[in-house]
Amino acid sequence: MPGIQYHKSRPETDMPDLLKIALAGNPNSGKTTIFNRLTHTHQHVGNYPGVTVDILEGSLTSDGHRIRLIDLPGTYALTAHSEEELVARNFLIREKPDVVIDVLDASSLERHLYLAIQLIELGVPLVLAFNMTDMAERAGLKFDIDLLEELLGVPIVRTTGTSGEGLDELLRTAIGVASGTISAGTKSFSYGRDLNREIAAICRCIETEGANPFENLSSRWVAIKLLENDEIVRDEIEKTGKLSEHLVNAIDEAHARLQQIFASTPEVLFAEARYGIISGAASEAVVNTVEERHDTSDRIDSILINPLLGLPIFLVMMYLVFMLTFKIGEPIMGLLEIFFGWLGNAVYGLWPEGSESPLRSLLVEGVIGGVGGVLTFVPNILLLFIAIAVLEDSGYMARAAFIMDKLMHRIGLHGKSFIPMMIGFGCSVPAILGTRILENRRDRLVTILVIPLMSCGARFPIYALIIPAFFPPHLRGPMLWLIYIIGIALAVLLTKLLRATMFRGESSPFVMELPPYRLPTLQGLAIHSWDRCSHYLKKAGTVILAISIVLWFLSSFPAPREYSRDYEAMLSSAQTLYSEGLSGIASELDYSGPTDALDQAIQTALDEGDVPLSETGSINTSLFITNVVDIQALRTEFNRTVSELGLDSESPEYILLDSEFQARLDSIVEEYPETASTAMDYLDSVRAPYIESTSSISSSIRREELTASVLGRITYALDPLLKPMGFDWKIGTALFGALAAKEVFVAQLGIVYAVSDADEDSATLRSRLQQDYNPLIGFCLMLFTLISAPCVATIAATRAETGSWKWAFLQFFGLTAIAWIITTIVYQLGSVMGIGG
Amino acid sequence: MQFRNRANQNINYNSPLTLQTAPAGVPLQVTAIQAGHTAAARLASMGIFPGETLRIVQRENSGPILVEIKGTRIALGQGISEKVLVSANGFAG
Repeated sequence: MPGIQYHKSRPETDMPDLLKIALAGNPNSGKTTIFNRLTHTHQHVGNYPGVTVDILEGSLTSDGHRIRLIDLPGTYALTAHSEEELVARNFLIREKPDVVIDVLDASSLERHLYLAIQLIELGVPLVLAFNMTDMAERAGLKFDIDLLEELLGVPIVRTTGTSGEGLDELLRTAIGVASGTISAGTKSFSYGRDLNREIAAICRCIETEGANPFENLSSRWVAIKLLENDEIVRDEIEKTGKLSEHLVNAIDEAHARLQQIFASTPEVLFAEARYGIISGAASEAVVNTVEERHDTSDRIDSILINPLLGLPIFLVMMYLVFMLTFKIGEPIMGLLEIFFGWLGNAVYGLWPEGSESPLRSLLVEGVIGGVGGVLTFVPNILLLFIAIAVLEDSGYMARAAFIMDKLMHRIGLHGKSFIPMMIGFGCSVPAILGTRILENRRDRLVTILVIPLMSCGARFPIYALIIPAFFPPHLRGPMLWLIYIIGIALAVLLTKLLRATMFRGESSPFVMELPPYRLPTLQGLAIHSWDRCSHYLKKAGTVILAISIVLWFLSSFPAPREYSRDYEAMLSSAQTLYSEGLSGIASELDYSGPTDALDQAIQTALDEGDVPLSETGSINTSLFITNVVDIQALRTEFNRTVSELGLDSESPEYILLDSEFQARLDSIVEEYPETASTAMDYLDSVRAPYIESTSSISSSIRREELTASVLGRITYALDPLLKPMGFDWKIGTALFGALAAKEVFVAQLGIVYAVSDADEDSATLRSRLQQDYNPLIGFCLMLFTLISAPCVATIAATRAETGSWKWAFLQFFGLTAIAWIITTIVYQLGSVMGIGG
Repeated sequence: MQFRNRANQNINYNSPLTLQTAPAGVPLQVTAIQAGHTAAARLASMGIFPGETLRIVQRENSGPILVEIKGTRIALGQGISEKVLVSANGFAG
């Protein structure tokens, strides 16, 4: 092969122990597939401080050499205009890889060669991989590889990433270049007479002034960049103080001359020149028996981005993604919740009964509660990443952005922003992580800041508690809808505001390649999704855990020095009452055994639903227990039906249901005349009061502990802020707890109102709320939770994605401030106008 | 042949068109780019600069358009496509 020498014997001493190889290429070149094939699962996200674009790294061994393979972000060029390009370029300059492999899509050679030319300009040791040659040849393209190698001065290897063909040769060639046995010549291209002249002039200037700040890059490269108005390079020179007036003048004069000759800006001129070089090479070495490469893709596209069908199809797709992540994720999340509940109980049980150990509390409520919270997100996030990976790898994501762009543009966002915002309706955390598909950092930031306004799934239980408490049935649906719409409207307004103030500037131009549709590889999907997932766990998880522990601490200490009432005494007297009542029942049944055993039998029956005949001895007692179980089941069913259907106690449906259940109750009494009424006696006069006393006692205890704790004191102190919104300190503690996770809100409210076992179905909690507050306050409460600070997981995700605490805090405080302002206005206006008050 | 553009005026091939107003399906030649540095550079690195031939694959009355250039398909937002001047000169209608 002319120009390329390959020696059989390799001087081993020249080789470094660990070869550093970088993979570059356009997005859609198949670079990632090759990366995955070469590194299998031995990959992770590289740790480069200050870099918010993911750089994947992997390791492999080949021919006895240990190789560290780095997957640079996919870029079309190496200009200073986009974050990815800068990251890639900086990596090449600073990390000095031993060799760079540029992966090109052979069917789209001319455009992919643009990056290759820039890499050659940069002077890095280079190997080109002509990927997807199978598809190219099927499309009728023929390459004269030897000629291309000579024209470009770099070795070229044909590969097919999906099948692995050519990868061995690629590695061998790369190692050869790294060791210097294959020369990848530093070719100096000619850009045409005029540009060459200007480059030479600036180059001379740089050399005489010693202005080249890069120790391993040629002055020629610096000259070209300066002529291209590359701001980053210019800044680097300025930093070293070498940006002399002479140099600046030389550049300006060059620009003026070029403008006169070509009437064009230098960036465009250089781009043209590069493409000129490329088409020159291509015309000599590539034969194109032209066929429409995009046949299948065209046909698919005519349906998918069809003006009429495109949008509806997209909405269906988004709905599917949504469904996938939450419908499938939910049951798994439910299982995880049960698991952590079990774990919590198990750890709890390790300590003796009645122990007050703070360590136990820390472990169960703080750690397991916190960690459990983090881990329950995992199925959700994993599924989301898989869905995104499928959409991206198949090529559909680009079409989606294309369809949504018009709408998003009117708001001031990029078309691609729509996708993470949709996901935000389920959960903000994966939505924020999903903003990675946005290339422009500014678009990404605005989207991240606004995502929490897409009312997430965790807020739903709050609405489910409040709406039925304050609004009549016919208003409930509309109220919920209203809340969601307010969220969206505010998001639009906030976006406009942000774009007009902090994130000013031209919307980044929407220029995006639509790659042909491809079937994503399972390996690629699996590796990508899992890697990003573990990334989330590490970064966000540690923060969530830390904050959960802090919140636990704040709500548990200090413990009240003494309680307002003697709860111990109250508990034991409740116990005594129960025993006495049970003895009464026992004598009615002619039961002669110890009351403890009777109690045990009843509890077991209630828990497990069947009656241990042997324990109880007499038939009467067994019947009694059966009745207890049945009547209790009946009542539970009644309550559940009422709350599921949201029945008002005055409504005809309720009265109907009530008489139905009464009839069933009556039939039990008829069938078991001796024992049924005793059973009801037991349930109503002995058991019910006992349960009520003990749970209200323990709730009161918890409530006093809460009030005395730091958390309680803080919220009490925040009263002046809460009052204008119509809230009191009780709501305050619930809101504070909601910081950890929105779902905590309802539980916390339950604690404060000393209601046992509060969950969103609780009718008791609702009636208490009705007593204390009114519909206006209820609405304000929902409004506030909608807008205000998202849960800690979201804040952690924001920090992780933006790389700084600044944005996380801005999001936190900004949204809370906005929430406060809006809620206060609504409350004050509403009170004045007498609405719902 | 004459085409009707968005404003439903008859246009002839020789008047300056932008990608936003040019007809779809016919080969077009880029004549100029009236955009700032970043946008022009971005376009240029995608292969869109004066002298290049491209074809509009799909468009609606407003909003982003889809072009085909050098064998690949590129979506361009409305804003930026208004800044790319093209002509259909010299191509057999």
